[in-house]
Amino acid sequence: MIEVCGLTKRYGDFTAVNDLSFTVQPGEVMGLVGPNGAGKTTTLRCATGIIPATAGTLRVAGIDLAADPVGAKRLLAFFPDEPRLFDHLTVRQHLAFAAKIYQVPQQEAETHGNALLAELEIADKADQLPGELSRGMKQKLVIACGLLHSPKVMYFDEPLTGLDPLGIRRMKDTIKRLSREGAAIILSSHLLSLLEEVCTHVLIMKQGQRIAVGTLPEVVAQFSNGETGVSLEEVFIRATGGSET
Amino acid sequence: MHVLRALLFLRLTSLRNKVWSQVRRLRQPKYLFGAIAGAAYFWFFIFSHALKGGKGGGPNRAFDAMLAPAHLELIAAIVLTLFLTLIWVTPGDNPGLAFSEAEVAFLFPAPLARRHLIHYKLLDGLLMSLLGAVFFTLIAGGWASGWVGALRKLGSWWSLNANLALQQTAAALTVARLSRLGLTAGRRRVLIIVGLIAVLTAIILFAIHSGLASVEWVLWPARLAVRPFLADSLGSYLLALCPAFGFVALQYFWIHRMETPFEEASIALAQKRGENLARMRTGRLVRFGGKAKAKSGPFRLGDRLPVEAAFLWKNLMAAPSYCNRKVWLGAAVIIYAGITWLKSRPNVESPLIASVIGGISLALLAYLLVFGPQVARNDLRSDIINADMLKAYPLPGWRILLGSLLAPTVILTGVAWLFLLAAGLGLVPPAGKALWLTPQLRIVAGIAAALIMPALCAVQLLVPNAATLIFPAWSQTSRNMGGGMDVMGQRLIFFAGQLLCLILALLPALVLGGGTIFLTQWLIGLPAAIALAAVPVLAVFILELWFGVHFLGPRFERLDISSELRP
Ligand SMILES: Nc1ncnc2c1ncn2[C@@H]1O[C@H](COP(=O)(O)OP(=O)(O)OP(=O)(O)O)[C@@H](O)[C@H]1O
Ligand SMILES: [Mg+2]
Repeated sequence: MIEVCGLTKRYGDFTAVNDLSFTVQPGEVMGLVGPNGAGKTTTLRCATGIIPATAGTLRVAGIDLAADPVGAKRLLAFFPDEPRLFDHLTVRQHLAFAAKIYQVPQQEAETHGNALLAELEIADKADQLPGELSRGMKQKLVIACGLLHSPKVMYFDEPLTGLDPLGIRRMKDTIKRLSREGAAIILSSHLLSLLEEVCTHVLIMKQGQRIAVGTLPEVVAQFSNGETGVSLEEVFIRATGGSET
Repeated sequence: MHVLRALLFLRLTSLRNKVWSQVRRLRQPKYLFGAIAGAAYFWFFIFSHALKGGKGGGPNRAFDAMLAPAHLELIAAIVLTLFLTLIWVTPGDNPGLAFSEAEVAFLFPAPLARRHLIHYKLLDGLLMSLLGAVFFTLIAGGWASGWVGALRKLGSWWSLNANLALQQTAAALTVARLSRLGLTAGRRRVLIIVGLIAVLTAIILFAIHSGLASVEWVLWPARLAVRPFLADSLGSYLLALCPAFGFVALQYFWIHRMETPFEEASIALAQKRGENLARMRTGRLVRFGGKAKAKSGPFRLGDRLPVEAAFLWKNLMAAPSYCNRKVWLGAAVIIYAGITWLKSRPNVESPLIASVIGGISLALLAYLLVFGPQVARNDLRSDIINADMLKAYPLPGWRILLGSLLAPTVILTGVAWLFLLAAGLGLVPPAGKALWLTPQLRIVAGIAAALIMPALCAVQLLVPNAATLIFPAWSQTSRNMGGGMDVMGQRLIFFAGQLLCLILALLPALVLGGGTIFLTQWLIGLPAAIALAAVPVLAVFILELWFGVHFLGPRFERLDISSELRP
């Protein structure tokens, strides 16, 4: 579903992501972890087509992102780490705009949008501008806009920052439900407990390089040196060369 | 004292780093060229002018003589007094002490006494007024009379700036204090008006009773403040400077003693300034129309509309709220009724006024075509900050660009049509003159121009948007840092480039349109020829638009916003 092959991204002379390859199949949730500055956000931005990759190929459901960006993007949804919204559009108008952009029929968009707003508990804010929303609410609105066109492939960059406990629970459930429904999902997060709960696979990055990739048990086994019951946190610290090793 | 030293350290280091980074960035060609253009502009239009003015030409001298120092002092004092009154009457919701968002975040929770923060801000204000004084001295050609003269001017400006700044702070803090005591804005306004009327009546009564001279004391503070500017010898200058800086010290002491709680209002202001800064960085200087308000959409986003309509819909919502159909229709009706009424009046002047209005409208139309795209910026220029969002949309770049162009095109076209209406209705030649300008011809020309207008506006808007896409780093300079000579120069370069592109874009249309009129008017008459010429002109503009959008679309897709737009 998502195929990344030899992805490299340079900012000037600085290589933020170096020759990264992985695949995510439908129904899988890939957790992207790594220290600050590892290149997680950069990877996700390249995979969405927001910034051009310096080298490498990216495919979404078999569609090459470079050859047919529009076709690929139609299947995608990207949820950035900072919720970004238009200052002058109310919550409901954001949904209307997103529906038009993704060519969701108006009728369907309205029912689906209202359901999403209700599910995310921001239905009472439907006529307010982003300036009047809290950060968590903005995040929820971005999520609602992204889910409106029922994407097959989703990228979440730090999806839980700013959400309340109930919101976090809902978010986890949503991600699990979407993956059960056959979506391919990548999420980057520093919250290892989240990864343990919702991810089927993990990709550990450091300084733009892939350190390890595989299913959760595989990666844990790779760094446990034969010990049992090693936590993901311990694995992370060993993998990224923290002081404990 | 160590607290103050820390705060001063913050201020001075920031200032030094800012200046330093401005100097350092001159290594990048875009800033260097900008700086050169800016400096040249300054030199030709301001400094050299000020220098000449300072040496005193003939008429200047006569003017000076007319305004003897005593008169000058009186006039300046009256202006200043009015200004000070204004400061007290309209302090608005300015909290008096303006902190930046970072200052709020770092200093307010820090273990600092309120009076430390007040000291800090006041000293900062003095520093800023000194910088302002340097600027004014340079602009006003203060150096024309040697460095002593320049220093004298500097001192005068500094004392004046500082007094004004402190007075503003004092007014705002006093008002804040009063409103804490339960004086609402409405009551305050009433109180101010009543107070003003009372003072004015008292002064007038006094003046009537015992002559004008008896009320001149009202002007005394202002007179003292402007006196350093007018002193003729060094001794009298120094003497005049004493009371001026005395006021500064007095106000400083007063504000400091007031110790009004200012934090809440300052936080609100800091937030607002932060937003304004963010907006400025996207190139929109100030948002006209004030705070964002929730509006209903300008039209229904139906399923059958093309995707571009979504951008029109969204960007129209970012336009100020008075840009709507009702206002537009109202203006059209007023223009139509007003000019028709003027023309139907029997006296001689009224039709003349109508044609003057028509002429002015035509001139305004020309202005609009040149400067309009700089004002109506609710297209890709203001949306480039959201480029990462836009680029994630499943749309080819050219459709995003085309959609973005629509909103300002609609707005500019609307205004242009109003001007055209006024010009077409008003520009009637006086009876017996310019017989060739028949009503029929006016109607045809007006309609032809109205038809061309949307395409013309869109082509014009394409130019600055193209600049944004082709030179993203250039057009985004104001994002990283506000002013500076280099940034101003860059704007100049951009504007010159825009004019050039415009001429190039208009040229083929003019040639084709003019040629059509020239060739066919013998056969079918001028009105029909003009109507016919609209066709190739429109075709040229649409073709230019088509090529432009398709040339720039892929550029938008390839635009590496990460390196340009994200600091
Ligand atoms: N626009 C840019 N220009 C230059 N360098 C950049 C840019 N964006 C990111 N980088 C650099 O690329 C590297 C990877 O950044 P990225 O944002 O992808 O990290 P991240 O893994 O998402 O980190 P975090 O956990 O803090 O979110 C960092 O070293 C960063 O400094
Ligand atoms: Mg990140």
